[in-house]
Amino acid sequence: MDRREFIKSSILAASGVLLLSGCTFNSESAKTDSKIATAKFKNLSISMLGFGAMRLPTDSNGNIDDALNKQMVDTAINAGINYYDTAYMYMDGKSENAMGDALKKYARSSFNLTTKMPVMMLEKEEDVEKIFNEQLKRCKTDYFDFYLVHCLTKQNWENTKKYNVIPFLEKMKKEGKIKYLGFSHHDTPELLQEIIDYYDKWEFVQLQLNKLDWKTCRGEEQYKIARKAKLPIVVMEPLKGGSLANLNTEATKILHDYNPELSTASWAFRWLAGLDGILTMLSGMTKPEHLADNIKTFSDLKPLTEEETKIYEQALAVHMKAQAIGCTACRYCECPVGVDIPSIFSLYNQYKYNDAPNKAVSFINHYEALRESERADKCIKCGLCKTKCPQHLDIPELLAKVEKEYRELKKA
Amino acid sequence: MFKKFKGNKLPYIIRISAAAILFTITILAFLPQFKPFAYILQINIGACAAKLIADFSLFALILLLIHLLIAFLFGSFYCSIICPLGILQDIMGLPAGKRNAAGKNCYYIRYIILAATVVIMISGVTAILMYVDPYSNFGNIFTGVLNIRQTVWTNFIPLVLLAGLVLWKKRIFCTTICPVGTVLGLCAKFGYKKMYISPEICKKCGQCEKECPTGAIKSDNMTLDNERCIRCMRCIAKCPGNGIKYGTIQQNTEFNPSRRDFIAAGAAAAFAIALWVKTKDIANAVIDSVKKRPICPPGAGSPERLARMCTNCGLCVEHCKGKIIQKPDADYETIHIDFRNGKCEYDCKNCSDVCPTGAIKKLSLAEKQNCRIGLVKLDYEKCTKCGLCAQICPKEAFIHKAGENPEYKANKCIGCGACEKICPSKAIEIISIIEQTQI
Repeated sequence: MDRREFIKSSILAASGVLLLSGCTFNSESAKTDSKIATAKFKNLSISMLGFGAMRLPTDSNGNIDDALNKQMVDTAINAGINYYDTAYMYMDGKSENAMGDALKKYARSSFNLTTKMPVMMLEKEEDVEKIFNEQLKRCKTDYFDFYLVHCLTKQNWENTKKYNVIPFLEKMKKEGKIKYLGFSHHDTPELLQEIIDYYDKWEFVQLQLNKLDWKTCRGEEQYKIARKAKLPIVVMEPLKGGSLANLNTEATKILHDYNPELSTASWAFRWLAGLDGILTMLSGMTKPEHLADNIKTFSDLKPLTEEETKIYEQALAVHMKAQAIGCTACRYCECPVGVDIPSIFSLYNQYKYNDAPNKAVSFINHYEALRESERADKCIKCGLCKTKCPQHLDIPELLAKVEKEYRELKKA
Repeated sequence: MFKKFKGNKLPYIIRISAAAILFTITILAFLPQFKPFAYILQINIGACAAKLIADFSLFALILLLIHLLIAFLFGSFYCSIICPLGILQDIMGLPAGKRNAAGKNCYYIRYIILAATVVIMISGVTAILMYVDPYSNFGNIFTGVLNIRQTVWTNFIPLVLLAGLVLWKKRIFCTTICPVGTVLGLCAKFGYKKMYISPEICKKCGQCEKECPTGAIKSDNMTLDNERCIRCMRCIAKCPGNGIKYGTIQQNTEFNPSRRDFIAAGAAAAFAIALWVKTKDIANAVIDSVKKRPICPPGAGSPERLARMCTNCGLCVEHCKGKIIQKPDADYETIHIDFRNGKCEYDCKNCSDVCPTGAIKKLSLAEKQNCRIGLVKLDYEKCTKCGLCAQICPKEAFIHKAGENPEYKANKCIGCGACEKICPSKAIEIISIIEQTQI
């Protein structure tokens, strides 16, 4: 019996158990009795819930809580999660180490380990090899199953080409130190297309996809490009940094009223489950409860029904309406001097509705990732946008407010 | 000056005279006093071709077809009479005395350059012509000289390169690089009337070969390559026995492609296909080359479009009434508007009128007067409430009551810069916009 057959039969067994229990199970039974949904990749079967190590459980000082992390990895392995995604830069460079420690007691072939080349940190070509070897050491392994060029933006893509990252990774692949090569993308659909066209041996791609970014961050266009290129998609930020797990009270009530059994986060995952070509969805779970809830969602992963989709859209609309800035990203404003009004407001809303301790840093980073010509300080207060905004926002004033807060945060 | 010619001098004299007239017109066309002459520059083949893509007009298409037909019927007279860069090369070559012309026809290079140019142009980047098209290069060189004080040194690279080529192998630019020359050459090669050497008369004295600026003549075997011949008529003037004939012949010009031709054509095609695939990237590269977003002349559309379409001939720079259109410089990689010298004159649309390549689209005066090219950024801290902006504004975009801040109505503003120029406290700055609109 090979692994595939084994997983198949265990899924059968799991569904049998579910049927027997009359489909009314609680999270405890899910944790132990059921295996989570999988997707096929080459001859592998990948759990559709990926263990994201950008956010790990921390203690009160903000350091990784190793004991809790190990416990959560154990739970994850038992539940059938076999995709573990870390990176050189995560958790201030401590994530790879923590994941290596937590996973070393399991047979290397029983899980897929993923990490990424931090191209933004490269200063010379030799750095590539140095960092790669350091990563192997940190993760306590001889090879990586999945390996990505990290966070490709315009600048980082330039670095990738400049320091010959791809030829080196190809060499590592030949040497068996990398099994599958991909990249994570954080820029426009145009750049995504360029990267895909540049190198025809990408085997998968990591994209930021969720219902909120579908239009505002042009997620849909990126998804379509990846699908057209037949690249399996690893989804990052399925909950948009947790904000899709914490909708405002009114929106949460809509979802809860429809079905009190379902967690808010599960709606987001199930919306994604309606998309074809998803390999896995990375969730950064900082609490055991997150993990338990996700396992429950993925043990019985069904795409949203048509009715549920409508309910979900309705709830998100209510949530968006109550945002700090009620921008719906319709993009009617079309700033004549090129200020990216909807993106700026979206970042600001994220910042305002975020509970994470590093939310200010995150806001500054995201804001500075915008082109200089697109930032709020380029507003000339001509007011042409005001006349076009269907939400009747005083856009120039709001831009000035965002710019002011950004400057204050930057100072602090 | 014709003493050294022993043969039939008349064709040469006629050709030189025609070329002199057209060259003078071209020179004058770049001077603002002679605006009607600027329209004549539309006959340049590079400009016609660019116009087909940038701002299609039937006139340009017909003109282009006439050029090709003439070349097919009579040969590449264009190169020796109309082409300003060709005449410029002849003039630059004068002091150099005897030199050798290029010996052979470099099929590889010229076909590939032609194919690549055409493909890149069809992909929407007519700006490629600024590197290869003779008219655009002439304009760039000439306006560089005219504006010598503002011009950065990189503008003189084409001039220096061209001079080098001329002093090295006469008109080698025309027979190896110039895509216009290649097209006309191909028309002439398979054309109706041809130049040839009469074997009965020829004594193989070799004087014609020495005189030929393109290396089209091989006197040993009495051949004249019509693909490279630019009909300068020097050989006819030189030949002591009138052995060079012009007429219809069958022999010695049969299409007889060698293996090398096939390889060259194949390589050119493959290269063109590769470029076709990469089209978008090239366009994007041009867009990315816009370092700072310029204010564009009315009709240019957007900075991106200008970067893709403008072949940098500089004709608009010379004809701008307000003297605000500037050549590319250290800050901007395309032509751009600089309001430090003046304003965009309300009743002037010279740039749109003269642009031969369609990079600046044709606008009616009403369209131009409603074409927004920028917007006002008003610094109320500097404003002295004098109200001059409201007085000067041709669009009534400022409302001013004595003692109060002027009220700016952006929806009426076209960004002409009149207010920026008149503002005594420098409180007004015109900001470039991402896309021009009709208000």
